[in-house]
Amino acid sequence: MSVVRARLGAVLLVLGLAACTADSGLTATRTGSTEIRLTWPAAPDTALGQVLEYRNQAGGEFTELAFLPANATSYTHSELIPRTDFYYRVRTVFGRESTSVAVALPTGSGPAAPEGDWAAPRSRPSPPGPRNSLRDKENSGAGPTDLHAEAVGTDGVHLSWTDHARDEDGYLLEVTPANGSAVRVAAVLGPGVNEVGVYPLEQEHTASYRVAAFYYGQTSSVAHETTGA
Amino acid sequence: MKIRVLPVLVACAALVGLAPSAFAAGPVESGNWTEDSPSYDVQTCQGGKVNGLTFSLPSASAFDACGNGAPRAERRYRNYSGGGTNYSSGVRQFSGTFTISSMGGNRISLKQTFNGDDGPYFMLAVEKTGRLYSVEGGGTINSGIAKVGTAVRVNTVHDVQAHTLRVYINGSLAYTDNNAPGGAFYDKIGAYKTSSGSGSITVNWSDVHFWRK
Repeated sequence: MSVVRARLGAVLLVLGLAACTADSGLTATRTGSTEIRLTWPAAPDTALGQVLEYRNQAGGEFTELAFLPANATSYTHSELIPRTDFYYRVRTVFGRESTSVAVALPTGSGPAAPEGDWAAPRSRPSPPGPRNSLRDKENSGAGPTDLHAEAVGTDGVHLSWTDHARDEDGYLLEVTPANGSAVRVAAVLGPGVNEVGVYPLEQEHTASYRVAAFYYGQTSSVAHETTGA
Repeated sequence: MKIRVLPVLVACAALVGLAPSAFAAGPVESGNWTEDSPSYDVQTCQGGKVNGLTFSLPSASAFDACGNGAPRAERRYRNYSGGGTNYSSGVRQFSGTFTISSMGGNRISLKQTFNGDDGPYFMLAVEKTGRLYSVEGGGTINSGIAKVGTAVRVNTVHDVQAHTLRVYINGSLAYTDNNAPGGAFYDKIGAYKTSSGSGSITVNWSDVHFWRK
C-alpha cells in the first residue's frame, strides 16, 4: 500500500514539475563560432519583465545574463567562451511598480556622495497597515508607494519607498535616462527592502527612477548549444 | 484503497529553486582539464572581515599595521597541483560567481592574479557604478554589470607558457592579454581597496573552482 502511495506521489510530483517548467519555445541557435542567438515567444501582457539566465553545465546554479522588457523575444550572446556548453532559461517576472520620480544630479564642481553606508539596502520599519499579496491580480494594493528619490552629492541617488507587499521575491530598481538611453535595472534587492542608494552611470545623471515589487513566474525549459573553436 | 492526493505544489518558481543541485561547476574551453584544489590563507587588514566566502570592508578603516596598510579581506590561494606554493606552468583555469550585496565605496578589487613577489599582474576591480575594469591600464571590462544583488560569473584561463590570459564575464570574452609576464602566479579573491579606492563593500563569492591542464 505504501509503495503505491509513494509511486503515485512521485508521479504527481513529476507532473507538477513539468507544469512549472512548461516548454515556452525557448530555442538556442549558434549563429557564429562563438555566438548564440536565443528566441522565445512573448511574455504575457501582464508581465513586468523577463530574466534571461545561463550556465555552462547541465545542472547547477544559473547566472543572470540580462533583465529584459516584457516584450523581448530574442537575445544574442556573443564573444563566448569557445568549445563550451551554454544552457539558457527565461523567467517571467510579475509584480507591481511604483510611480516614477525624476532626479537630476547637480552639474559642475561639488562634493561627491560621502563614503559610508548610506547606499546599503535597508528595511526600515513600515507604517502600520495590512500587507497585500502581489499574486492577487484584483488587488493593486501590494505595489510600492511614496517613492522618494534625491541626489546625494554630485554622483549618488538615495531612494526610499513604502513596502505594501507580503509575498514579494524582491524589488527591482529601474533607471530610465532622460536622454533616451535604454532602461536599466540598477539593483536587485531582497524582500522587505525599502531603502537603497545607487551611483548612476554617466548617461543616467538625469533620469527617472521606479521600484517594482516582483515575483518570478513561469520558467522556460532549458535550451542548450555548444560553441565552436 | 484510499488514494491520498498530494497537496498542490506551492509555487512553481519556489519548487524549481528548491530542486537540489547535484552538479558541481565544470571547466570551460574543452580539453583534458583536471580539477585542482589549492588551499588558502585568509588575509585581512584595516577592518576587513571574512566569513566563509563573504568578504567585507568597512567605510572607515580602523588602524591596523598590516601588509601595505590597504583595507583588505581576501583569500590567498596556494599549493597548486604541479606548482607548489604558486603555479609557474600549465594552463590554469579559475571560475567563480560574485554578488555584491552592498557597496558604499569605489574602485575595489575583487579578483587578482598575482605574479609572485612582483606584485599583482591582473586585478579585476569594481567601481561604484557597477563598472568592472582592469586596474592595470584602467580599461573597462564591463560597464554597469556588477549591480547590487546580481550575480556575475567570472572565468579566467591563464596559459603560463604561451603568456596569455583570457577573462570571461558572464560567458563573454571581456579581457585578453597576449603578453603576460612569466614567473610564478597565484589567485586572490575577496575585496581589496585599490590605491585610488575608498569605502565599504560586502561581496559574496560562490561556486569557486580551479582546473589545470
